[in-house]
Amino acid sequence: MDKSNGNKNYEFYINSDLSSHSGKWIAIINGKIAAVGDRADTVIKKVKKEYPKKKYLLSKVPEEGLLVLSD
Amino acid sequence: MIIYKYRNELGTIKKFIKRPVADIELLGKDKDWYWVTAYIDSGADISLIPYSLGLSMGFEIKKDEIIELTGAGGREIPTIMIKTKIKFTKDIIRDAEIGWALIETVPILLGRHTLFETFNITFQEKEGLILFEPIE
Repeated sequence: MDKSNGNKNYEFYINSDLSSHSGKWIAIINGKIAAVGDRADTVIKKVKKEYPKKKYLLSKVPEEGLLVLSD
Repeated sequence: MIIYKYRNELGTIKKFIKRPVADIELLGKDKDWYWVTAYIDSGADISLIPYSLGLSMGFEIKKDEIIELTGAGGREIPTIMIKTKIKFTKDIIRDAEIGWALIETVPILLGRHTLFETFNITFQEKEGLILFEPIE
């Protein structure tokens, strides 16, 4: 299964410049940002309240810089 | 075959750096699936989620289960190991043991423990693709 087929939210995350949300959590619905916040729990609450039946993709937008993922 | 992609992100050494990103679903203690993006990190011993995500997923802190992981630069990360499931596609679901970091400043990582041995994984950085071939 190719993730690039029919996965609008993933494609949006891969292809978008999200630097204005650097360091934030975002929820993506239908290829658009539906909620933004400092913590996953607050973003999930917001999106569940405003879009109770929608499936959302949750991402943490990285901050600019070198990301050392492991030693 | 699952095909993930690289994402261009702002870096330090170069203006843009390509990082491998997967979208996966994690099973919460509340039995909900949480659809998230995660860096595919072949150098990470374990998969990792930040504090606020684990909290949302219904996991609880038990002090006697906290271990200290050593992160980049020798930084210690208080972590609880949790058993969950990871859904890659509707048909490809894996049992997984992942780390719930009790701090917020870690990315969501897809690391090797319990996962990488169940796929043949190919990084095609030039093409911007990461291929996950399930091993039956």
